[in-house]
Amino acid sequence: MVYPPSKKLSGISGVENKGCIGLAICIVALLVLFANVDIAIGFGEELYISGFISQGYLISTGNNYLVTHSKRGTAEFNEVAMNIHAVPSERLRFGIQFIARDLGTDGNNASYVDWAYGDYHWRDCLGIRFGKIKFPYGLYNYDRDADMLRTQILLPESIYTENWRDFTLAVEGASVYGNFHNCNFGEFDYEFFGGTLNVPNPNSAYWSNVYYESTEGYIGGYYPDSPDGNVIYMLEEAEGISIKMPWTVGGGLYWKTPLPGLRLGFTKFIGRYEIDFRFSFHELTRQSEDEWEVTETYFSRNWFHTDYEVNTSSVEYTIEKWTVAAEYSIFKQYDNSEGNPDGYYLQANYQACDWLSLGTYYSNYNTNSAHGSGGFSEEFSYFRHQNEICFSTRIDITDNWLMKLEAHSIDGAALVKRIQNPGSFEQPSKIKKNWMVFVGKTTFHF
Amino acid sequence: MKKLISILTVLLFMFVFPDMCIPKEVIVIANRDVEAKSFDANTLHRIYHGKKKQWEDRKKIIPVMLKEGSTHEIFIEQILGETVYKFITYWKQMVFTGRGLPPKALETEKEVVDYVALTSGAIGYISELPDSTLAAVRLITLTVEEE
Repeated sequence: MVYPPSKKLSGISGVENKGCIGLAICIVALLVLFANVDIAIGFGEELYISGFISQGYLISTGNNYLVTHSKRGTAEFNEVAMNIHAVPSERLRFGIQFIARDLGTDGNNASYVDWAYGDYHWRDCLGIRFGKIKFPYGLYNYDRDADMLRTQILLPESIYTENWRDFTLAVEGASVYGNFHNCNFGEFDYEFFGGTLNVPNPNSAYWSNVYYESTEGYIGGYYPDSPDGNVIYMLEEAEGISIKMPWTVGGGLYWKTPLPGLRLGFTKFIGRYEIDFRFSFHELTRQSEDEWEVTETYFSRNWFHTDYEVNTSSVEYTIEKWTVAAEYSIFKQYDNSEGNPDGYYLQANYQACDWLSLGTYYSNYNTNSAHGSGGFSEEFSYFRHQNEICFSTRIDITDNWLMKLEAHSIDGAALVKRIQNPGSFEQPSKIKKNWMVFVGKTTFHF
Repeated sequence: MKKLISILTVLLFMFVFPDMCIPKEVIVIANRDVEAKSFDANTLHRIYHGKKKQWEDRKKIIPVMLKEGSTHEIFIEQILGETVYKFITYWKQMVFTGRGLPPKALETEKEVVDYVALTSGAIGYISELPDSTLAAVRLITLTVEEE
């Protein structure tokens, strides 16, 4: 629904993102100092503490990507996390991970609880987790923020796009999980979940793009420019108030087949997001050939919700030093006309030795939008797809320190945020069709 | 650099004394209260990947492993059927996503024997078992076939 425009705009609430890795460190320090528990850090202990620090550098040609100033190169690309696990009894396990990340204007190193769970393992075939839990989505979504768990720096954007990370990472609720084994059919892992979540930052680049694009349609519909072109309406600002996911449910099934190394998976989740944002726009009146004057400013607020469904099919085959994988995913939105984007990728990684691995993938993403992206003409049809070839190198310098280098050759701009490319809303030709991204990253972990 | 020197030293030693470096057998041992008498590699794989956590009598399985060394490598690579690197990566995935904790890791084979002998439901692996401790644990031997 859209509230009628008004000329009064109350204060805009900022995004609060509290929680602190320092707090986690303090908790650990207090446990060590005062609690009567035997704390140990490392592989295979009962109270387990681990963490990582990643720092990256990203530079692109043609378009700004993921961050606003990537064409200049940016180091605003890092993650810091720390987790603690405890096993108080035979079937119970607890854990919490704090994470802080920065990706341009997203995150800004504000820390938050990445996941926090209690896990009751009743049988091998049935356990329950409750709290803020990671949920299954494709093969690699569980560990997308932990750089040291893969060869690539950036996972294929066709499946693991930054667009959807707010509602594909974790859910506050519960899940049931288990493992079945059959000598003839192999092994099955399942997890079904349900819960809710709030998007931590309603003003991230993706959501800002959503506000701008939906508002442009609203202004054009209710405030058309005058026929003589002397009075026009132009969006000034859009700002998110809140985005809520009141419910989301889904599950994943992974089949480790009798053929050694072959794993198949299917994940599905459905949910709803509710968007609440405000915006302002100007009425501009032409004063002369090149001169315009703001003759009125309108303020309004918009609220709408969308039901969505994400289905992902996966296959992974590991043989000796090779791991090849392919996934296909489709994101269905039920009550708007933005289309149902889908994507797939093919990936091959080679573990040359313990300290060197190489990887490559081809990724294809399509908006499948009936009217292109933002109603662009055929000239700008490349806003509807993004094809990407990526080459990655990972070097493990020690057991706890690694470095990665990666190059992406990209055709299309479906995942380029116009909010990160100033002026491109007015002049889409500023967005390039063929461009590249280079990324380097180093990670320390224990 | 230190790591590289260590690897080169081991490789040289393996070249000169091949039979001394790589144990041909890994012995799987369990606490005496464990009823199972034999395991196939797949069962061990599931136990050491946290997929099978209960014995048939619902008692908790407590796997222990060696932190490093040739016995550890031969167990991971030839019995579990993967590289040590992948095994470690798997457990890091579990840890950093809150889905599991790796088996307890001990420094020496003697520690493994002592831990398994004293811990109900425990299972571990070593390269040889001294006669003096034979009675303390249940013995399950898995012979690694040479290609």
